[in-house]
Amino acid sequence: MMNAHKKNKQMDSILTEGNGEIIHDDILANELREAHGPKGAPQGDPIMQVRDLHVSFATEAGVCRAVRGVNFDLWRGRTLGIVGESGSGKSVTALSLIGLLDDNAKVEGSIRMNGVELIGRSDEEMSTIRGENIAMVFQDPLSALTPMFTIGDQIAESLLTHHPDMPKDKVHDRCVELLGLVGIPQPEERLKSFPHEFSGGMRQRVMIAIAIANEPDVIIADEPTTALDVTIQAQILEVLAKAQKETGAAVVLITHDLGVVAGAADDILVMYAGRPVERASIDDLFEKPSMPYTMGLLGAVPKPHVAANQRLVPIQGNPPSLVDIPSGCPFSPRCPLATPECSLEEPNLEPVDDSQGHLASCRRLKEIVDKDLKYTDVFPIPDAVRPQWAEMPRDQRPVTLDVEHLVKHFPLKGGGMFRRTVGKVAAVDDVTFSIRQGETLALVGESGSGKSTTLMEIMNLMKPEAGRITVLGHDLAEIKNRAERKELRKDLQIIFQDPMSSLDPRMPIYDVLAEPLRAQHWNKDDINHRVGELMELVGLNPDYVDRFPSQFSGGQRQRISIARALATDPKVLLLDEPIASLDVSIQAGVINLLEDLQAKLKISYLFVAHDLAVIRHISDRVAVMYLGQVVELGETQEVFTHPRHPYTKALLSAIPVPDPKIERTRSRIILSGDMPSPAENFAGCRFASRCPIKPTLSEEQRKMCESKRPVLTGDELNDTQFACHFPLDVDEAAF
Amino acid sequence: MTENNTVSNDSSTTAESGGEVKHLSYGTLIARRFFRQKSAVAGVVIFILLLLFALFGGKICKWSYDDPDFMSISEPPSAEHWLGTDPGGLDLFALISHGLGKSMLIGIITSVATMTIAALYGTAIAFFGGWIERVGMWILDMLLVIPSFLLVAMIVRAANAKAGWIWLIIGLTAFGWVGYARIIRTMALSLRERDYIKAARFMGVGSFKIILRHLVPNLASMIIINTVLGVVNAVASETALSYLGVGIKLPDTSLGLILQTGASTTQTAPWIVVFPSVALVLLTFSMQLIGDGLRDALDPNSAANGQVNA
Repeated sequence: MMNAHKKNKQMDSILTEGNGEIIHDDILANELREAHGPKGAPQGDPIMQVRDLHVSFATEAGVCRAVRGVNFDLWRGRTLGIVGESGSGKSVTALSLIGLLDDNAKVEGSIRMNGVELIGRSDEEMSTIRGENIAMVFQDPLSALTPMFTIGDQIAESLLTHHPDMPKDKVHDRCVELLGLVGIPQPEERLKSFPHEFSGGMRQRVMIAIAIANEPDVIIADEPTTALDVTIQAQILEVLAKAQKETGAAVVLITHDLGVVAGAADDILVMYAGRPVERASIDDLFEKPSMPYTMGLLGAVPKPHVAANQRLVPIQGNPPSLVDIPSGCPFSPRCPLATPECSLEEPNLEPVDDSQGHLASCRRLKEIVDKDLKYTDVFPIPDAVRPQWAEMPRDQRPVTLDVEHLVKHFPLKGGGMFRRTVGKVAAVDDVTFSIRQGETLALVGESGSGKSTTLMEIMNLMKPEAGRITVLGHDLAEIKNRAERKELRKDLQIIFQDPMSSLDPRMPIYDVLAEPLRAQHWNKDDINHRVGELMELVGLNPDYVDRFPSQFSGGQRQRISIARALATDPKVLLLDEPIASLDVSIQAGVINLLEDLQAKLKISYLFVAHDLAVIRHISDRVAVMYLGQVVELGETQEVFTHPRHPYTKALLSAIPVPDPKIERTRSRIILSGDMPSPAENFAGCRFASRCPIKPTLSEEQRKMCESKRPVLTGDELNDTQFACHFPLDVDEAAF
Repeated sequence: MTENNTVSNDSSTTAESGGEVKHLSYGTLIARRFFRQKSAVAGVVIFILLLLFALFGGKICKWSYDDPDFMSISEPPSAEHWLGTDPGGLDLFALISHGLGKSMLIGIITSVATMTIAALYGTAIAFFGGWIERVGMWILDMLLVIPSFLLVAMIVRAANAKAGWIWLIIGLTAFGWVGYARIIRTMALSLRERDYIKAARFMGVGSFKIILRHLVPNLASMIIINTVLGVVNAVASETALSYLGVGIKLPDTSLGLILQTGASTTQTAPWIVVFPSVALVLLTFSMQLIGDGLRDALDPNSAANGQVNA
């Protein structure tokens, strides 16, 4: 008893040992000089100092050096964005701060908080500051909460762990306060809810509430919005900013999305192959990136706020494996500026300008600064293939895919032995669009809006429940037998989101590519010829056909899926989020490939995506979906500049723009709440419950929104069609 | 991982030429990956030796398995009887040669047939789903409650001595696949939702082809391991049934039957147990090696990759 008490005393907090002493060195001096952000230069002493952090793991393939020499400081009230592709070591860096790495991780260097060294602390010691002084928000809110306990219990747990003597009613009050703070309506009642009763966005809010429960000094957010929809993402970033303001904590924001950091971070650390390659304050980094990798990363991102008048610039090759990092500069094999000397020695972070704290690691940094090289100088923009058929006006080209008032319901099954149908979910309810030859139509919407169901309805080639689908002039309702359907399959193909699961891991590439051809009864020689042709078409070496999918990288696998879809020379290609699972630098290459193929082969694309920036870049026309209905349909350029439906406008305003200056001045339309369940019955407009316009309308008009279902119509203001009784004016700009 | 960085991500793809692609057929590829593994080759060699012994052992021995030498009963190995004789005066070399053949036939046919039926049935009901799955599962559940051992015993008992082993195979197979089919269905359920299955369907590939080409190969590790263990199991079942007097009947013989005879004389004539045991161990060992080799050859992530990235 005595012993336990003593132990408890000792475990109070390891931070009390500290004296707040900080390390004054060049790294800190440089950081203090960087003031090109909304908050200016950092003030006062840093709360946390990381020096020369190295993390390595022993794996079967060898030692994986995940982090190699990271330095940074964190100040209260400031946000440090750590940006990098998968495998750049950003998450490992974050986990080492909070001491949550696996046991086989070897951590070296120094992490000091309040003058106390955290590296080498036991798990028990670290747990005294975890949650109390350092908190974490994880990427996947669906798995971060325990399904067996109520939200209230889980927030209370974080409070009681560190304050066991806190009285019950105080805990309760604090929980209510926290839930209110993160914007959960009726916090009192929701305390008793279980995680499964919350949507993803709501759960992420709860995670943030748990993270700030004890007013920590440092909050680590590891890709906090990646798993969420764009409108929810905007909400969560807002909540995170509010939480930071409330607690005054330093935030480490880890992300691969340059748009997210542009709006939320003050300082940026760009990581590549486990090493920081550039550090600057936010405006500096976006204005004058100085390391070729950063330039490439910025150039490879499609910009949602400007029209796509030039091609994206992909970075060649793939990020290196951390087990086998190339000698010298790890970026040199992919760098257009690389010379043989680059692979001799790894450069360190050097100041770009002696008077400022902007740091970059490149052997040729001096040249870059002296010649003021921009990313277009470093990465020449590839020429676009001009399609010869583009001269022909759109309405003279034949319609390849036509969908009219498509409806699809799923039955809601009750439990029990007979699984009776107890209701139905309108997954797709009134989808209308048409695609002409050589055109790209983008289908945009949040998850649950029915995009994928629409694709599956088209691919199934069955008579739809209601409405009409016409593929290349064949009405699906009139297809009678399998043979006809199979004949049509040749002209209609699909590419899936995840190239890992869309290729059979046990099939060599040759058989993967030959499969659609065999299904169409091609003969052996023709198949062989075609496979070689396809490999070259998507930019892969035909000698690799005997390899298995796992031997290729993500981008290459997606190229293989594209090749397979193109095998039978289809006229219409459906793309279900084809680049969502790829790294930014790889995405650009795949987008360019898709554009080239369309120019060359005159295919129509139905491109499903939630990333509006990509859509603006690649599509000619866009259909915006909300809860199973197409609410706006028109030319991409027109929809992005003059949205007519309030939902489209909200969606556009929610996209993070990879430009900090624009990002700061923009006002966001934050939609209240989540998308309602499609199992509900809607008499009127489906968007009415979240519509930001509706409260401004008169009583009578509001009644109309609630009782009468709007259908797609147009007016004389522009060519766009919209499903709204009270459309927006065309002079309202989206960005 | 053998991630290769050599393939250029060049986006300007203008090559329209194509041309012949040198490639290996799937069979050749798998064979190459199989024979690259030394242990698998060893397994094949042992298996072939056992097979030759079972086929021609009787020919090189001057005794026949059903021709007792009453002059030497329970004799230890000698020049006359290479592996000795059993209490009935039968030559052990001839007996083992014949018995091994029977056991191999019963074990391998039963096991392969069991797993084939289980794999096809399990994946098919999982793939088609809906009412087919419901009826299929219902049949499986019905079959599971049948006392299979008893039924097999009754079937074999009713058959005559010569055809007994065929009925044994039929009986063991007919009731052996049910449990495996259930397991395979559960595993196939998660595969069914994979995109490559959808992709194949959207290409117009027939259902049966999808099952054979995508579902079954992706369950290969599990199926192969169970097949190998199934051989051992089938031999064990046959031994058990023979012990009860309802399996293989004299004068026909099997390893199980010989072992059973030898069990009573382990103290006085150990060779009767030792030699058939060695044959049985060699048989299962070779099956194990072949099974492992096959699994690694089919598994793209295994060490059988060799130096593809050199």
